[in-house]
Amino acid sequence: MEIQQMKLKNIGCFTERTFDFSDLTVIVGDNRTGKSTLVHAIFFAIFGRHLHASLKPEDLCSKGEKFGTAIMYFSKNHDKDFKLHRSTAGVPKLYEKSEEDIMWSPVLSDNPENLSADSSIPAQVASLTSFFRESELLYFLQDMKPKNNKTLLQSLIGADDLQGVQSKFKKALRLAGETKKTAGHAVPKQIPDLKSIQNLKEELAGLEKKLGETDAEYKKLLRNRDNEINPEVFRLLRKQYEEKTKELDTAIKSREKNSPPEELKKKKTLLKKQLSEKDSVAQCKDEFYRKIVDYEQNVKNLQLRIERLMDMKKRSGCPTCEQPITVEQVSELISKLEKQSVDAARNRGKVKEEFQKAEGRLKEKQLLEKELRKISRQIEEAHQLDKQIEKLKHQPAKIKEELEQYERLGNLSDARKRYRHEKKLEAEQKNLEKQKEEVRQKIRQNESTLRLAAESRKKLHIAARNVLLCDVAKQAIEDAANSMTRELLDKVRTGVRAWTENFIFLKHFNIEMTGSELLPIIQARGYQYKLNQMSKSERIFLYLMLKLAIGDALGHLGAFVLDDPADGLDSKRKQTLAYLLIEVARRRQLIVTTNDLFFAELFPRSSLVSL
Amino acid sequence: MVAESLLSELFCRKIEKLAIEKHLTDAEKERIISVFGEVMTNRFMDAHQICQRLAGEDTV
Repeated sequence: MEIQQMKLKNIGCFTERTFDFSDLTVIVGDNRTGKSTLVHAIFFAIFGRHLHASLKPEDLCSKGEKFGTAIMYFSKNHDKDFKLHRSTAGVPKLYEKSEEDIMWSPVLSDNPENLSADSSIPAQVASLTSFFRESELLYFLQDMKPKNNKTLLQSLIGADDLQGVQSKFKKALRLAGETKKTAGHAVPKQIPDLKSIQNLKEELAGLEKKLGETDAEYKKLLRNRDNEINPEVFRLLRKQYEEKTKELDTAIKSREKNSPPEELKKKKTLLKKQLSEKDSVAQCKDEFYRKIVDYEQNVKNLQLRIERLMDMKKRSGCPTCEQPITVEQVSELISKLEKQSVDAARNRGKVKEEFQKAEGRLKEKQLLEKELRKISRQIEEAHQLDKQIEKLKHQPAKIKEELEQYERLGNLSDARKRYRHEKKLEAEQKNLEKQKEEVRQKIRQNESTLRLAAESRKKLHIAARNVLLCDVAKQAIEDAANSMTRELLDKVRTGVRAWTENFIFLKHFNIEMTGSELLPIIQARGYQYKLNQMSKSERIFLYLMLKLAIGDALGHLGAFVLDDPADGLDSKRKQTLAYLLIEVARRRQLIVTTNDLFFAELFPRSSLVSL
Repeated sequence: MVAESLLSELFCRKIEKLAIEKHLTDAEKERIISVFGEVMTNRFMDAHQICQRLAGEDTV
């Protein structure tokens, strides 16, 4: 790109100012006249950021102003003009115009926030390869050495991101390997072959055939059975006969074991009679009991009266009316009452004896009742057995008759043989069915295992293929990353060699880029120089040359902006620098700022802008 | 990443070479290149997703 014009409004010390640029423009101005501000404004106009990564675009605004604007006119490839309008507080707008166009037409962007004048170069790279700041020099020297295990080149090409991508592919390969291992475990260890399944199918066909034959034979037997006697019926009749005979025998035996019914009936009558005689016993017992209670009460009363009389005898008077009572009268009364009490006690003893006798008789009655119940039950059982015997008596004979009739119907021996054959066929059928089911089960199992094995193998194949793809991708990214680093380093080396031709001053030094790192080894007269042992002018020239070389390798804007490069150089070195910059201006547009008029005059064909 | 286009170019070149060596199909080759492109544009894509995408499985 070629920067043609810049219009600044409220940027730094510029309230409103327009700058025109040619292939080589020298900006001259004293300190604090806006030289660095202009350099920052150019970077801001191109990328929308501050040249110092730690500062914001708003920091470019003039004091007291809410926002500033920078309008940059530039061309690309000398055939199209562009106008980029950028504000510190707003969305940038880009316009384009061809040579034949009169009006500017807007360029649409998907993401206007990130709009850049040159989208092919990231701001970080452009800052290094297209801008020269004296203040940057110190840090540059530090950056040249490996920092945080990264070289400058590694930082510039985004080695971190690249390493991240590489590690992702590496991890993906590991994951694919694990998936393959799992898929390998899923493949069955023993896989049945097709031949064994075929054999089983043949076996099944054989069994089915045999089963069909057996079935046909069995059906034939069943058809013929209608004309013949059934030994099973015979067997059942026989069994029935045996059961009934046994039942009858048991009933008769039980009947014989019991006493004859007449005898039992006699016993029952006798017991009933005995019982009726003892019916009044219970009543007598109750009466005796009542009498005992009465007598006991009577004795108690008499005792109480005697006690009272004894008391009266002691007092010699009636305790109620206090009338005098003679001792003789009381004694007579006491002896009378004592006699009555003795009589009552004697009578009570007699009644008690009677009561005990009544109790004994009652127990006898209960035994008799028990005996009566037993006999009644025996009589009932005898009746039942009689009924059963009567019922069963004719049954065995009847069944036997039926059996004889059935035997007469056909040849029982043949029927038995046929029946046995029938049963044998049934058993065979059952056995064949069982075998058939077992073989079917085996076939199903084998087919299922075979299917599973096929699926597992397919999955294993896919997993193995994925491992291959992951491996190829990993290899490719590793090789590409290495090649890219190598290629970029070669480009930088080529650039260094090319620019050294112009930087005659640096010919005294042998500058080499070592290994895969962008770390120059500088040798002079057989001694290895350390960067910080070089003089300031030497470092400035080395810095400038490396910027140009890296720019050739990684890309640059096409314009090179230098902020006061001659600061601190003597007049001889200034001349050398001016000579070099004129050489650079042959290949790139150059914008140089300086506060030294002598230095500015060393560029005779440049456009001079005074601040 | 600064040299993304250079890296992509080198990657594709390497894939072409490896595809012949490892007898990869055109579809597989294209898949690897497409996954690489996705990884370069989507920095949140993880190894698991890469593995799935390379296997030809769709990821959500």
